Amino acid sequence: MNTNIIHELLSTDNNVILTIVRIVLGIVIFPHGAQKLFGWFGGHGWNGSMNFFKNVVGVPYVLGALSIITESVLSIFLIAGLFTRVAALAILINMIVAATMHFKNGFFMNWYGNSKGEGYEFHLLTFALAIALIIGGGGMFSLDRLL
Amino acid sequence: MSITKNSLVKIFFDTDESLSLTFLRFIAALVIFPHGAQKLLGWFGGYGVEGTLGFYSNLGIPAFLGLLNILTESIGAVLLAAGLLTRVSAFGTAVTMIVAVFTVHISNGFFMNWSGQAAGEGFEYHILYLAIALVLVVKGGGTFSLDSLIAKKAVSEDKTSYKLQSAKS
Repeated sequence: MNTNIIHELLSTDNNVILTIVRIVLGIVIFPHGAQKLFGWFGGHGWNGSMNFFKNVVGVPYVLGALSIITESVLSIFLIAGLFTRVAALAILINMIVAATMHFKNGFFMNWYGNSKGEGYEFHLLTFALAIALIIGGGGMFSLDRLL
Repeated sequence: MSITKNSLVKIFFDTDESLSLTFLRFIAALVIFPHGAQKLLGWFGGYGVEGTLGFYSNLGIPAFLGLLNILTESIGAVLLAAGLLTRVSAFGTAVTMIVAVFTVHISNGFFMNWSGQAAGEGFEYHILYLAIALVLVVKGGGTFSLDSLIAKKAVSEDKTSYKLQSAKS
């Protein structure tokens, strides 16, 4: 029973499209995680990000920490195709929460620099890629296929 | 090898039953349509056709290509939503994204202007969109697409004519 569920969770076709979707989503999300976890790419690092989550966004400690782990560690899982569906679901939830924080800026990104902030069209694109992976799994060259 | 009706159907319409593709197609349409409506109709605070073509000419983009881009983002988005000639529209949006990156966004680096301190928007958005478009170009529109209806119809017609031919001989 339990092994069946895990088997279902990891089962995926030998499909190179899913590989591309997985690697692109991982590559785009990872720099955000690395900003928050390590302070790379001009980010604030763990302490700065947790302070931002607590004081500016008002997110509980656990959820802030989960978000940082999701964007940093689980984006690597996506690139490797390890527990692809779980990682994609976590990233989907992470991006849904992020999108709600951008609702006030409307749909559009701040393309012309005259809006008060970024909209949520970026997040919609990540939803599409994450949902495709939740449905299809990690595809070709994924560790899921080896397990 | 000659181009037969069959090979054309295969190139343009043939697609698997796949809800992943349906999601990717709907979101690709949903996200690009407001941009097209800004450029074609002046909706959502956009500049309309003339204003947009003026903006493009400042970037050195010929009017013909600019117009093609406006149609891709507007009509192409509607075609994507319907799943009609998915590969063609998706290819158009892919070209749009590549041109946008290399004419405007590459100088702003990877990140969007999340903290409002950058000079402008980066190209991570375009990478996401390109991935979606690439999938649709390769795999077509998937479930609930007009493409798949057309492909199925062509296949069943083909089978009928094959049966008729073998019955004659």
